[in-house]
Amino acid sequence: MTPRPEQDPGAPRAPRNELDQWLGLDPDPRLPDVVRQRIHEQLAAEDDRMLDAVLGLDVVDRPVDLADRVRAAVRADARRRRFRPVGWVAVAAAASLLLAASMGWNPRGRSAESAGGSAGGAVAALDGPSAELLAALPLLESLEFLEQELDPFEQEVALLVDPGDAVFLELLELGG
Amino acid sequence: MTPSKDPARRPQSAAASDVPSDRGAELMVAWQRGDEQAFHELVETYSGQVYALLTRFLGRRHPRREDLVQETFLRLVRAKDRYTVSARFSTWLYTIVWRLCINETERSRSRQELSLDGAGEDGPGFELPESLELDPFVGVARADVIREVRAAIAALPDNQRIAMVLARYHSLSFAEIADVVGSTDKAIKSLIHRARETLRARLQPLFEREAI
Repeated sequence: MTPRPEQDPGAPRAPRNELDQWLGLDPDPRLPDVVRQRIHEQLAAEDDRMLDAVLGLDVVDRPVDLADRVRAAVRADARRRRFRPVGWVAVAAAASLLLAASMGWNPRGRSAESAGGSAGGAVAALDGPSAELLAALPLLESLEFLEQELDPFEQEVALLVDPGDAVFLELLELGG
Repeated sequence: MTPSKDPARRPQSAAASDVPSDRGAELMVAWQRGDEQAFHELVETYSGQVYALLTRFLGRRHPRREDLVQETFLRLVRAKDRYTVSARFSTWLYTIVWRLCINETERSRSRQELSLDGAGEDGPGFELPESLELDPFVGVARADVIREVRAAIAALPDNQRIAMVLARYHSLSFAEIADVVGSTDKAIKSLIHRARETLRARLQPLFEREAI
């Protein structure tokens, strides 16, 4: 039973107010909880559907010939890996050659020196003056003397004269 | 979420028998037996998916996406003999991709830090222009929506982004995603829920505009 609204017995009767009070007793219409839950679920599902649809707009296109380029890269890598052992062998061979060359350098130089400089060549020259160079020293000294003591014409004549021209030298000496 | 050391040997939660038909696994086994054509088909079938995953995770501005697709398949070649059919092939493949993504993200971050250190030279905001890769016939309004979707995905944290992308665009289950990223089903479920909430909040205004 709904209680009747309290009324002041002394107050004048106001039918309109009384009606409003009566109507105010009627509660707001409410959906049952089960139904409300179902509506919430449907709204959430609809939101999910919309979200998925919007996300579906983002499409990634595969670049043209991507698969071909991938296969080419794989082939190139396989080739590289196949030749890697060969590369290591080549490096090892080069290293051993270098080692052999560095070990052979000094003995050859020394042997050239001990052999009197005939076979040493440029390598022997680094270790010291060769025998040929030492033998040529007097001649170089003579040339220096000629340059200092004679005029250019006499230098030219002197350089043209062969030491075997004994007669000519005698004549030169007699004439000088 | 760190992946285990060797995806080929890591126990997978989804058994092979759970997978009714896995063309990738079939091709992989055929290739192991010496069928080179099977490898060609693998590349043909999966290179696009790998590219799409890298694009959605790293973003369209990332210049090395195609190199990373090649790197993925090079790693696949090297792991060929260790592969055993224990899960969907794509799950195994995406594990390789995810690892590359982590490496690349870390590299990009350190590069970014370096460029910020040298801000006086190149300027802090130096970036490649974004390539929209949109169909020229896509309308301006639709292009805006797509741009917004991409920005929303890019703004997600790394772990939420990879989980959401694998679930939404590559149809992986929670268990499979957990295998890929080295996590648990429960954690993945939570990550995807949070990612979707974030996306819904950001993209809600587009729902009415698009009226899908």
